[in-house]
Amino acid sequence: MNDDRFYFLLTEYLDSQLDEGLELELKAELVRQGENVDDLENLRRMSVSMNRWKIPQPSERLKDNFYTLLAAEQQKQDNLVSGYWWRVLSEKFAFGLWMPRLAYGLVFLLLGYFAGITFSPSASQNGQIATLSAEVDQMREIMMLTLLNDPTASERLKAISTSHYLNDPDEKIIRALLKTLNNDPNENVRLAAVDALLMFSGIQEVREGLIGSINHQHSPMIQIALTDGMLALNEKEATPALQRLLQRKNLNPLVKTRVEQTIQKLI
Amino acid sequence: MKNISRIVVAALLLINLPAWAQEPETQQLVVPLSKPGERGKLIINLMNGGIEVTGYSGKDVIIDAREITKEEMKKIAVPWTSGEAALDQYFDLRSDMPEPAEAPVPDFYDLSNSFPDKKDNINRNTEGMKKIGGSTFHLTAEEKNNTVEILSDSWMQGLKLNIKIPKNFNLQLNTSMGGDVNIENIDGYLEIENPNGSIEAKGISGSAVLSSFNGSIKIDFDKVDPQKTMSFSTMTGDIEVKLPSSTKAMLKMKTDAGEIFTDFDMKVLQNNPKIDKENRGGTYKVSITKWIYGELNGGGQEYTFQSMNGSFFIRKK
Repeated sequence: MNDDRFYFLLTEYLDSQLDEGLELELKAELVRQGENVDDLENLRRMSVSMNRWKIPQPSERLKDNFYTLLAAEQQKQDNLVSGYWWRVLSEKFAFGLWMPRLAYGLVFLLLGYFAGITFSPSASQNGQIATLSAEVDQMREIMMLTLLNDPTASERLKAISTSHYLNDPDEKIIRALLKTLNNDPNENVRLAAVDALLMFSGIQEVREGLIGSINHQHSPMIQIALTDGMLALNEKEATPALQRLLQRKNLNPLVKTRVEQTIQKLI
Repeated sequence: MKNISRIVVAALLLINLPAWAQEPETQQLVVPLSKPGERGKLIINLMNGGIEVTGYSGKDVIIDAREITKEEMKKIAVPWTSGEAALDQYFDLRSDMPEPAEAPVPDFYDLSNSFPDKKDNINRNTEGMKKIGGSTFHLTAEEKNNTVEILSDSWMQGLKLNIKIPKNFNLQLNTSMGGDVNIENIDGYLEIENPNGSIEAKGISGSAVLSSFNGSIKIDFDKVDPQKTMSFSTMTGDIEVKLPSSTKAMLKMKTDAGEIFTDFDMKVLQNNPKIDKENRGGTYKVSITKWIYGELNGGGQEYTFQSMNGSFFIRKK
């Protein structure tokens, strides 16, 4: 017998609803399970008498007692909040309910507003940044042009070093650097000028100036620096100038070798 | 405040020496300063033969000069430096002159007569002969407002100078043909170009911009001026620089065939720190030359080291 049938029979029996045939079937099942059949009979009797118990009903006084307690509790709450008007207001507008919700809403609104302002610069701010950086560049240019005329080589070196910070040097700067390359009495300054000019080799005027300077130079180190620069730029336009350099009398042999190699590589 | 400028023409020195006699005599010039005790500047251009400058506790500039002997001249003469190249170097230092390639070479600069393999029949054997008239060298020192400039008319002449100056002096020295430059005990700024000789300096407080072609550069700093940039360049010579161990600097180094050594705790950076930090997309900027950047003690002024064949030794004190 499956469980469902067994429990059905059992509950029916406890309700005294079973007819004889089914009762026998149930008792047979119990025997098969190894249970005592007498226990079943006792269980039925207990079930019947339990049904006869009466549930006591609450008296009239329950209602009264409850309201008395409620009133007392309310009184206690009222005594905690001072002020008559507050009580009236809180009763009228039920602050307790929607005030926190309103507060949360306002806070998130404000947060969102300020976050928006912080993370998306307005058009006017972008404009300001552009003008500021242009001004800084201008100041750097002025400082550089002034320092390039300083009698001390150390200051002229500093001037050339500031050109690293310039993004788009204008003609004045380029001409100043080329003039320094061709005329500065100090070797180290001229070398620094080569370096700075090579950085702006994207500008046509700079490339032409560098090529023109090749035959202007008498110092072997500068000649080599320019030659190497032309190689790094793969500047084939420089080949005629380099060949002219080779023809110079008393060209330093180290320079000669370097120039010859470079001409080979530039072909 | 009166600004007194005095030009002191010190001397026209004449030395008469018989050829077989003693070592060349030393002549001395003493140049007082307009403002003794205050910072001064020493300028020497186109000297040939060797310069020694020492800082001392006196107030004047004392110049001892002598002609260099033939032996010394032989040691410092460089084979490829002759006629036109020497002229070139001369013109380098006087940038207002026309470009040598276009300017006509004046006859009196023609040195081909001094070349030994000249083909004629003259007997140049001087055995048993006396040299008459000796050699003269012309040396002048001008002082103006604490700046002392030493000039020589015969710039081809080899003169060895030994100079004592007050310690607080800046130096600007340009030599041409040869001879070493030795500086000691100076508190100031050194700007020295010695294409064919070496530069050695010790006991220096301040900064230096030094260059040589064939010679080496060696400088030992007691103290370093934190405001000043420095630069050292050679073609074939090595560079040795000793810095106080607390020196803050950004070293920028490049040598084609040499090597770089240091006992500093140097932070080597891969790229040009300036270009990387501020790269706002400038259209024209290109990083071509292969420099190595090394940061000392957090970085500071830029010290440039460049050479073709020379090696760098950067030592800490």
